[in-house]
Amino acid sequence: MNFRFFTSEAIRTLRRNSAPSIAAFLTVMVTTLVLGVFIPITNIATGAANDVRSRLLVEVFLNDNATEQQVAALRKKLAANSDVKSVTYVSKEDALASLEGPLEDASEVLGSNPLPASFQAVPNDPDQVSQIVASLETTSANGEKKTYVSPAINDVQNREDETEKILSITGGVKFAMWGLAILLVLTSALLVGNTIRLSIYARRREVEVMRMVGATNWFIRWPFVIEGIFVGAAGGLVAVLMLLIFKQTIIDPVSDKFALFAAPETINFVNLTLILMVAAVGISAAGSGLTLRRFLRA
Amino acid sequence: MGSPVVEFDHVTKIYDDGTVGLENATTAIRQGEFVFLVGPTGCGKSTFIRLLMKEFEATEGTLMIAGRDITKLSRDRIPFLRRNIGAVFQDFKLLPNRTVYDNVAYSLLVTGASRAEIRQKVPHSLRLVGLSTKLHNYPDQLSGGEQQRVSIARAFVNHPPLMICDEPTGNLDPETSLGIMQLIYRINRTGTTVLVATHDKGMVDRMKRRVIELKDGHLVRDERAAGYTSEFNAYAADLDPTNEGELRAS
Repeated sequence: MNFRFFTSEAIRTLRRNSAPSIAAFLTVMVTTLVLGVFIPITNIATGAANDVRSRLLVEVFLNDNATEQQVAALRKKLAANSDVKSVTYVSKEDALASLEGPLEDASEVLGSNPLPASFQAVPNDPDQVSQIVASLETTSANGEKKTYVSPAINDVQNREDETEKILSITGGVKFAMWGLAILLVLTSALLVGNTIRLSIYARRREVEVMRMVGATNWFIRWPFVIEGIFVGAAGGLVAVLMLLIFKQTIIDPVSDKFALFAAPETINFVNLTLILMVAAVGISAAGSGLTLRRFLRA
Repeated sequence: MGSPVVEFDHVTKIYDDGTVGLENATTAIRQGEFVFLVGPTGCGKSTFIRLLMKEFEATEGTLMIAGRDITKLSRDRIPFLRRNIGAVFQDFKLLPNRTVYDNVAYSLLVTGASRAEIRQKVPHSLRLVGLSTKLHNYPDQLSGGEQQRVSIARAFVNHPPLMICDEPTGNLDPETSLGIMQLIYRINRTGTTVLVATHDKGMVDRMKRRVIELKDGHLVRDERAAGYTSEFNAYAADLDPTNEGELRAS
């Protein structure tokens, strides 16, 4: 394969017949820019949603008169549950110490510590909270009356209402973000694909002539693919530069002030650049090569 | 006369929509021959030529080029067939974004020719057609006759054994046409087999070469040193002179 020749062919087309290439370049640039803004936004939104979900836990309050063996057995049972990630013991004193504000002096007023000791079980997956609760309950044969699997348990709480709200809202946010992301990627691919299709359609006569003088399909295709790589790389590069300027002048100065921007899971700029460049070049080159297929059939 | 370069053996082409392009055509063109392919529009001339270029398959029959059955040629071998056929068209089919030189060079490049070979052959071929001074012009800077000369130079640069010209003078004025036909004739004299499809009655009459006439997809006449009008038509025209206009129009 004569790579130098194909490259010079691609450059010749870009110079002599630049209008369709400029259209393709602009399309790639704009879609890359939109994706470049959207990816971090998706990231922040799902990151924030995940952060909220990760705070969900099951609290198992213990009877004050539970024996040490019962407590130890319960701890073992919780730890053995495959849905549970970690178990923390909160003693009566810890619970009291965690109180703040007007309740701080409660024990002095009451003369004793009213707070129960508890286990805090963190689930592997926030959606498993109710399974963990269920595993601690036994329902008697005649229904209704709930009892707990261990006599040490006084009450099991997972702040049911809040949990369900949090799960459904964050789930909705994540679902919407994924849906938008898929839609956006699809739109971008179609838009770039169509622009390339138009630019190749404008040159179908040329392709016909090349075939007529005995050029093999790949001999015709390579310059188009290389041209696609150039156009994609140029469009991607300009978009990334614009994102970089945007980030440094607008986002970075204010990022300290908003916790949202500092979300730990936000994609770093180098990875974002890599993803965008690979996508821009890949779609542009593959688009050129694939669209040509229609005109290369005998 | 040499061995056959082109052999049609009971070739039929029926298009997908049922139109008959060519029906049961049998003929042979020998090496070094100059053959006119004549007939009214829609008679099957284009089908005849496009079958030779293998732009589509024959429905029935065998079609041999240089002793090889091209109906059995696999798709990826088609480019190699086309490199052995120099093609000239009514609309020139030049690459608009290339200079005259690069247009001619392209048909050498596709064969993987070396640069030294291209530097030697392209100017030679352009000298032959009389365009040595316009190497670096683009097609849109040339006249129709000049563009056709470029396309002939391109067709000839590989020295193909067969050259096919589809209405080569269809877009040109009579004087320019004559020059183009003389050029094609000169190429034929170098031993290249030439097939020219044309409407140009005067040209066919004057050149007195072999004529294959097609009508409604049928091969109705095949004569050496003939004119455009078939004997039957001439006979009919002689009987009734008022018929002539009609026959010409058809």
